[in-house]
Amino acid sequence: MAMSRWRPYLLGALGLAAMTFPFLWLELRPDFANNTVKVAWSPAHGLKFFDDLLPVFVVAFLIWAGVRANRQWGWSDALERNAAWQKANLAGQHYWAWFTMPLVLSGPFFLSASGTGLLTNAGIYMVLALGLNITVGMTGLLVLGYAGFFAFGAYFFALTQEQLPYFPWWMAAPLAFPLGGGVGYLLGLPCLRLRGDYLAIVTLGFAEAFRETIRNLDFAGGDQGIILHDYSMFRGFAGIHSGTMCYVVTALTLFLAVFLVQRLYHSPVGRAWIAIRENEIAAASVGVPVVQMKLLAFSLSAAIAAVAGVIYAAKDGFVSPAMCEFQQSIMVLAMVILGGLGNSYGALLGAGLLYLVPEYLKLLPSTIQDSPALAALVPASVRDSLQDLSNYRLLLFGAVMVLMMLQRPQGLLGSRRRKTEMLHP
Amino acid sequence: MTPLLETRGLSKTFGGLKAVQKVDLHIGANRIVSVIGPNGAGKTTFFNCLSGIYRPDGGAILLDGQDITGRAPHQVCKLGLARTFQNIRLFPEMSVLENVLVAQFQHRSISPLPLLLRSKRFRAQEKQSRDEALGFLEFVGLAHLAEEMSGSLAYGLQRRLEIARALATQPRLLLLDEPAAGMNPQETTEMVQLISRLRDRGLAILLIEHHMKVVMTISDEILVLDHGVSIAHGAPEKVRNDPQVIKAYLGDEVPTGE
Amino acid sequence: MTAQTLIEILINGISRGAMYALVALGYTMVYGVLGMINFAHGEIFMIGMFACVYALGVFSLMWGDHAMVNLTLAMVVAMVFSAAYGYANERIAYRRLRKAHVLAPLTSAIGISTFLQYFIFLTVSKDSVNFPRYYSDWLTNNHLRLGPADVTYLQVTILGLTLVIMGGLYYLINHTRMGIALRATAQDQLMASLVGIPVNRTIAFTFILGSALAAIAGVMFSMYSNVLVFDAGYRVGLKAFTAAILGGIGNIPGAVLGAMILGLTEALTTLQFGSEWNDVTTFGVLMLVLLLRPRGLLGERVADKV
Repeated sequence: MAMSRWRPYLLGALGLAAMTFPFLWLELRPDFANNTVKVAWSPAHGLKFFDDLLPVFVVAFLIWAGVRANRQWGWSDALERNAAWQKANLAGQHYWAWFTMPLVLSGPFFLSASGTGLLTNAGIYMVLALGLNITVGMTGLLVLGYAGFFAFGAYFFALTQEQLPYFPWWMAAPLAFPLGGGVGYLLGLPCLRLRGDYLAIVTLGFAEAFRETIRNLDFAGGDQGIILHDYSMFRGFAGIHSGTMCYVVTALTLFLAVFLVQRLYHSPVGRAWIAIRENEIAAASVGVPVVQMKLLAFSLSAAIAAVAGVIYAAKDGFVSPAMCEFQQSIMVLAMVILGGLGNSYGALLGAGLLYLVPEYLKLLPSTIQDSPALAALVPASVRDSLQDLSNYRLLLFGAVMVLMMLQRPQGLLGSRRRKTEMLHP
Repeated sequence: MTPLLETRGLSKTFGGLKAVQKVDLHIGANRIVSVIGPNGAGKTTFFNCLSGIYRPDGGAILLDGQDITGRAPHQVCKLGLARTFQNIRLFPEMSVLENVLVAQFQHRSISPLPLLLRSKRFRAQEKQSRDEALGFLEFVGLAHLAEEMSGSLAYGLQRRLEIARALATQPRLLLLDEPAAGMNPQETTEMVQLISRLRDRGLAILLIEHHMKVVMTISDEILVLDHGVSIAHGAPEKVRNDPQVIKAYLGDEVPTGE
Repeated sequence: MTAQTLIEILINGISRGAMYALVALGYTMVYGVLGMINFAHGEIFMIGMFACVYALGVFSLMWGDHAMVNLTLAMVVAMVFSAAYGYANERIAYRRLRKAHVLAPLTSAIGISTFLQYFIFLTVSKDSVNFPRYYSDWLTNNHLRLGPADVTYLQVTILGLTLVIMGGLYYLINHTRMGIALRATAQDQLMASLVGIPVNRTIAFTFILGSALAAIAGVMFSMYSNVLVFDAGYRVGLKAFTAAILGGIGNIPGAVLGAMILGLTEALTTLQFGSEWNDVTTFGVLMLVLLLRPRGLLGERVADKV
């Protein structure tokens, strides 16, 4: 009995071990003299791979145990059954924005400069995730080249400030919104008339073509990118540090984006988007202009990304073709999926987790080293594997995407239930 | 007087299969017309052509004298033609109420400023939407389930919800694709009552149905399709005794349904 | 433009196109049968490239360097590895999500694709690896004369292999039991299973076959371009996928036609503007085709099942 239950898993594990065997345990040794290649048995290679991932296995095991325990004792069900909690959650939605805003905006006063910088970057990713969530999460259309629009915004800013005598970020950002939206509209027009899945490849192609174009054009800075003029960037004034300015502007943009997306979400437009995601034919049959609504969703996504691009450029003072690499797009997509498809707050959570956790993991070893108590507690090997973990970021994103789809397709926050908020106006 | 809906020689072919061939039909205002025929007779294809999901290969569809052939589904809907689906197509992750709210899309203003600022007018519109939607749910007997997820409703209730959703588009003509399929006798009776109440609201109804009892009780006219061809059309009594119809329905016995 | 350059462009374009075609077939077959896009297919191609080089290394240790024997055997090994990865992809990312929302299998396949890329990045090499020239020299250095232009043996091999595979595929789909099962599954999975067709096995077979073809393309491509790199699958996959859409996704001759058009576009671009503009012109062609013939060049109008 027990044997037959485990057999498929055993076979699967054996198969995977065989498939990955050469890549993990053998090393390629090019023989340049003869133009041939040799392999060498190199167990250190594979052992390091598993050793580096050890913390991940531990965390994965803890999550698995937690999920099993929850299934056994039904904690989350109990929480969900608690009507008081639900009502509080719904009714509070309006007010906690007013509560969080001052809290978030006062961040720089009690954070270090590096902490503020990290949170600023996280904020930009949050804006991106929020924008992508409109298309992928709410409307159910896959976009694979989202970073292309991000880079478009940044390059629009960088190239214009080269041509114009004075072109600061606060002029560029509002202009990037309609421009990015326009590019999105033009890209969406040919492929959204028919099937949604073409959007994935068209946006991917756009991001690649855009990257190649800016790399090849001299006036766009080529591979080196463009360094921005001082007057274009965020500057501190009246004793306020420029990092603080970056943070505050990013936070305000984020609030504006949340406001925009949530207002749309709780309106006939948002309902139309979800309906398209749920059943396109039915949506069209009850009078939803499917193509227009898809175009609106996608253009809005593109517009938000372009604004995020301007802010990013004004913050770093530097744009480069690396901004629209595929990995960037995948990272934002992973954020949306992890946090909760169709749930704006989920997207924020996903962006925060996927950006900040690896960044703090990178910082953790030095923190441990700096504090004698922690250094005594944590063995050096663990510290080293934490150090290396950030290399594994994209590998883990991939794994997270697969596991989320299989185990919790609605994401962390997005129990995708859409209650009628209007009943609690 | 122009009929509410008229088809002239409507045809649709898939590859070599002639799913609908030169079908002519008139539906007057406030009439109930049933489309019957054996499985694969082209009834659903006929519906899909009418509601704009398929583009017909030939012929014309006129709604109130206006040519709607080849229009997109949402445009057809806007002109007052709504439908339900044989294989239920709800928005499963939305609540029952929201399913109905979606269907009001074309009657609601989405001008950006009032929407983003939640102007008084916009809030009033939302409240009106909600009240009307609850009214439609009340009508089909689902008001008490408004907050449930539509995907978790029982099968028969899902069919009712589809009707409420179609009503919310404010149609003049309602296409019902097998509304009583898979229902027990009790539910079927209730569905018949619901359909006649729909007629009392002033709607015209085009109905695909396999339950002969249902068809014979409520239809004003019946159209019989076989292999995409209209083989009979007229009052229930007349169609019932039509030899061609009897032949199409397997053998020589008069069909009496379940 | 002289006759020589013209012929060289044609030959270059067609042999590039032939390699894209082998990969594009994998995309289009899976789409034809499942109605889903297999985003991890490019990585299966990349796995084939690396598996081949590993196999060459192992064979060289086992019985020395016999160029042709080792290369042929390594190609078989590459096909086996790619097939295994393709099968694993189907089992992990697709089988359980077949009935889910379209976004779900798409996303999980992208997850697999990212995972595989970085798996190779982390375990094999962060930088590009050169293909061992010893094995490909004979193919790349010998020429056939075709009028005023030269064709390398490699280009002839690529074209010949692609033609043979096309023929085999045509025969398989139209004249074998497996082909019937494939077509039936593509039409209606439930119905196919009711008449006794092992639907799961048929779908797995599609993935395995497509992956093996991708491995052949991978080996050819690594000899042709002489470098292997962890994101090669992404680049070539993007091209091949575009080719499949150009031809009308789900349509097998369409995939080949689309791939040839792309190959020629690239050859022309390389001549006129330089190879660094290839992605831009490819994208231009894609947008143009989507604008003019939204279902692709040979795509049929397939109505949604309502």
